[in-house]
This record gives sequence, C-alpha cells and structure tokens, in this order.
Amino acid sequence: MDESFANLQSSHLLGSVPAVISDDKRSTNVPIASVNEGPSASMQIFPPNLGNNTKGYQTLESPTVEGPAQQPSNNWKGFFNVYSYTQYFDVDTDVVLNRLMSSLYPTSGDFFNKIDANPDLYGLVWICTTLVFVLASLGNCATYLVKKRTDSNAPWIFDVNYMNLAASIIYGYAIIVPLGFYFALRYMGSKADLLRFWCLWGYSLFIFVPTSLPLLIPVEFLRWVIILLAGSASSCFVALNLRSYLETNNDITVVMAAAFGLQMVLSIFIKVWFFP
Amino acid sequence: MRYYETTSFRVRTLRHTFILILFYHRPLCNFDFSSSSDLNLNFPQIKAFDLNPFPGKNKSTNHHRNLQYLSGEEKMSHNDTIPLYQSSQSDIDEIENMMNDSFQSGPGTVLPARPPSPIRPSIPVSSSPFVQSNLPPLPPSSSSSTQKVMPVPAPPPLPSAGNEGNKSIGGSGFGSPPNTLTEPVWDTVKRDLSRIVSNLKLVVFPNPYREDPGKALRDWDLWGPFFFIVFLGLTLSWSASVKKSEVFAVAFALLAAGAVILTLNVLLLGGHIIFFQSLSLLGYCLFPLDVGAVICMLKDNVILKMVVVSVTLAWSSWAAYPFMSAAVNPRRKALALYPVFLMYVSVGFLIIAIN
Repeated sequence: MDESFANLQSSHLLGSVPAVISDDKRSTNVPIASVNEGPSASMQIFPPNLGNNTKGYQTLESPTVEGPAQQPSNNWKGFFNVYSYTQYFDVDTDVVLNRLMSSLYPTSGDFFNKIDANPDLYGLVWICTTLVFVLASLGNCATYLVKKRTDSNAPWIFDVNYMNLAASIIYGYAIIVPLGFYFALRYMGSKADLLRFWCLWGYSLFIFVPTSLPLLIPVEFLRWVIILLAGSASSCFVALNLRSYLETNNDITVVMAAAFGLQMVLSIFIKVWFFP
Repeated sequence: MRYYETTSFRVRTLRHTFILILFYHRPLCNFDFSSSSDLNLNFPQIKAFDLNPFPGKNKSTNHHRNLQYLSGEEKMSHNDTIPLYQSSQSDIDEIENMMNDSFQSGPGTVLPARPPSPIRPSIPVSSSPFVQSNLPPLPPSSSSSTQKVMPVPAPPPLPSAGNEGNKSIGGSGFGSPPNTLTEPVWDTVKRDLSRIVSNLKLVVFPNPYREDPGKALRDWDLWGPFFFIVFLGLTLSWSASVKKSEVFAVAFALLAAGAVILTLNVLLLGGHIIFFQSLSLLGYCLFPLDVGAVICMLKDNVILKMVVVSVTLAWSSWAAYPFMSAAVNPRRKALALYPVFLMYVSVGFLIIAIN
C-alpha cells in the first residue's frame, strides 16, 4: 500500500510518466489472458482423449461378446475336434440296452420310432468292434474243435489273420451299405437320413454276436440252421424298419429286397468263412 | 505464449531506450520507477493464479520467473546485444518446456511435492534485486538457473529401480539349471525308473488315492505304457510258433490303437478326462496281463493258461474300473467300461490261443 502511494505521487510529479504506466499494464494483461487460456485448453484436451480411449475399449469388447454367442448356436467345432462328435454319442446305458433288445425282435418294425430324434453312433461302433473280436476268436475256436474231432494228434495253429479279415468285412459292410442306400434313396427322391441308416444297420448286426456261440457246435447241419435263422431275423429287421420309415412308393419293394438280400449274403459269408 | 513473450520483449526494449534518451541525466530515479511498477504488476498475478489448481500454479510460477529474468535482461542489455539474449531466451523456453513436460509426465504423487518448493525461493529473489544496487541482480539470476537445473535429476532414479528389479529376477533364474544339467545320466535314468515304479504301484495295487485320478496318477508318463505294450507284443510273438511278425503287429495295434479309441470313447460320451493321462493309466493296467503272458509262455498247459489269464484279466479290469467310472456320468458308466473290458478280454484270448 505504501509503495502504491509512492508510485502515485511520483506519477503526479512527472507529467510524462502515466503513459508509460498505462503501456506496461496493457502489455502485462495480454500474457495473463494467454496464461488463463493455457490451462483451459489443456483441460479441454483430457476429456476427448478419455472418451476416445473408452470408445476404443468398447469396440474391442463388442466382437468378443459376439464370438461366444455364435458358438453355442453351432455345435460344430471343427473336423478334427473330438467334441464336435459328442452329439452323436449322446445316449445313456439304459437307452442303448433298450435299443439292443428291440433289435432282437424283427417283426415289430418300430425301431425308428424308438430312436425318434436321437440316433447314435455308439451302437454302430461297439457292436461292430464286438462282432469283429467274436468272429475272430470263436472262428479260431471252431477250427480248433473241428480239427480235434477229425485228428486229435494234429497240432493246431492260431490263425491271427482272422482278425484282419473280420475287421475288413464287418467295418466295411457297416459303413458302405448304409451309405449306398442313402445315396440311392436320395437319387430316387425319397427322404433319407444317413445317421439313422447307420444306426439301423449297426443295431441289426447285434444278433450275430449271441448267435456265434451256438455256431461253435461242430455239427455242419446245425450250423447252417442257426446262421439262416439269424440271417433271416436280421434281414427282416432291416427290411421292415425301412418300409415303415419310407413313405408308400412303388420302388419300396426293390429297396426292401435289396436290404434283405445284402443282409442274407453277409450272414452266409460269416458262416462259410469263419465257421466252415 | 512464446509469440506474446517476444512481442512484450521488443516493446520493453523500445520503451527502455526512450526512457534513457529522455531522462539520461537522472538514471537512478528512472530505475526506481520501473522497478516499483514491476512490483505492482507482479503481486496481482500471483493472487489470481493461486485460485487455479496445481498445474495452474506451476504455469504461473514459470511465468513469474520468466518475467523476472526478462526484467534483469532489460536493465543490463543494450541494443547491440539483443540477438544473444534472444538465443538465451529460446534456450530458457526449452528448459521450461522440459520442466513442464516432466511435471505432467510424472506420477500424480510427485506433482504435489514440487509446487511448494519453487514458491518459497521466488519471493526473496523478486525482493532482493530491487532493494539493493545493480550489482546484486547477477547472483539471483544464477541461483534461479541452478534452481531450474535441479528438477532434471529427479526422473533418472525411477529406471534404475526397474533395472534392479530385473537383476533380482535374473538372479533367481540361475539357481536351478546347474542341478539338473550337471547330474550324472544314471541319476536321471534312476529317477525316471523310480517314477514309473511309483506310478505302477498307485495304479495296479490298492492304495487310498485309488478313487481320485488326480492324486493317483498326478505325475503321469508314457514310458511305462510304451514298455508294457512292447513287452506284451514281444512275449506273444515269442510264444507263437509261426507268423511271429503278424502276431506282434496285431497285438501292438490292438493295444496302442485300443487305448486311443477307449480314451476318445470317454470324451465322446461327454466325460472329463485328460487324454494322455488316460493313455498312461490304460498302459499301466496291462501289467497284470504282462505277468500272465510270461507265465503262459513258460507253461504249455491249456487249463493252467485259462486260470492264469482269468485272474490277471480280473486284476486289470479291477485296476481300470475306478478311473473310467469317475470320468463319465454315472448313467453312462457301463458304456465307458464295456470297451475297456472288451479290450482286455481280447488280449487275454490272444494270450491263451497263441502257442
């Protein structure tokens, strides 16, 4: 305050000094304004940056949210991913047992009604595997018994090639025949589902597993009776279920005859090759 | 801001020369008047900036220092020396910009500690040159320059701390490698063999961890299964009188592919199982059948063979049961266990039949 009074007195004494003071004030005012503008400009810069950052983060989040949403809609996770095939093995023990029992009654013709919306490949895989092992092992036992009966002193040698032959025949039949029927029926314009066909033919082979035990009896006539009965039952199972599955059509007789014939051929081949 | 500062500098130099020309006969009185006017102008600036937050304070203090320095230059300089001062001014501006950048880039905790320190020395610097004669202004300018240089060493300590952290991490890494690299080969083989033996005991013989796959076979390996599969294949092929190679091929394929297919079967039924742990367990479960195969190779009696194979078959199935049953849904337990039983039955049949 004292200094301000001193300045005023000196300004009054000297007439030319007020102009200098006014110029000083004007020059100093401009930097003050610029200084005030500085922080405000810097303050304005920060919110837009934060906004941009949040927007970028949100854009990154949105595709990740969409990703898992798409996966549940499509169960296929890739050709070489084992979990892609779990939908074809979605069965319980009691369901499989029920289907096995129904495959032993050829005249009912309601197999497709039982598998309705849940056909499986478990039956196809493990019935074929069981049949391969049973034919290979019991086939060797049958040759052993026949050789023992004719010549008890002759040395018997286990034929390991029975395993390869059984695997080729059974797996080949179970995969190729349903595939052939599928393409033929599609060509003729009928409805056809490959998975149901594999399921049908897979369970139709189950009857040959318990039949192999009686085939061990070394009586030729009895073996023929047993295999023809089993073959007929299996063939009727396939043919009648195909008839109930397919709609009424003129070509159905040909399809049934073909299915019946192929099943009989397989049964005769099993008898001739594994139980001579 | 730089543009305004340069314009103010030019205006002040012109004004200074004008004052000297008009009042050259009274230099002391002129200096006093100019200094008093500067003081009056400086105080309201400080008051106005105090209301601003910390960044504002920093900027106001920088501006204040800049004004003081310019006033000092005006007192000492003449028209001929203006270019040198302009270059020095640009250097000073660069230093101030570096200081501002360091303040802004630094963490939040550092900023509050810095503002109070420059405010205190600024007040005596502003008061001292005006009260004393022309000679004392030189030391205040040097002191202000040293104060400006002081904040520069602050950033370097941070990266050094980071380097120390890296060094400590590196030091811990050197501890373990020499132990395993310098050990004899026999010690390595012995350790692997002891692991195989301990895993075999956990799988085939009764133990409290039998029901828990995670504890029973935590440290699983594939050496044991590989050994048991090859051993069984070789034993069967030695037992065969004809077609030895075909017997080995069928046995090896049955066991190796069988283990893979059984594991895939569990996965397809919706079970939770570790793929290679399952392969390892199924391989260890072949140990009883291996023993049975050796006994059957030595003895040639069919009845004895059937008894031995029945016992070892039951033993192998008993060993595999808890692991497989725990992996799948209880409603599908039989679907997972049946293929395992089928594989062991087929192996048992091969042991009996091949002679």
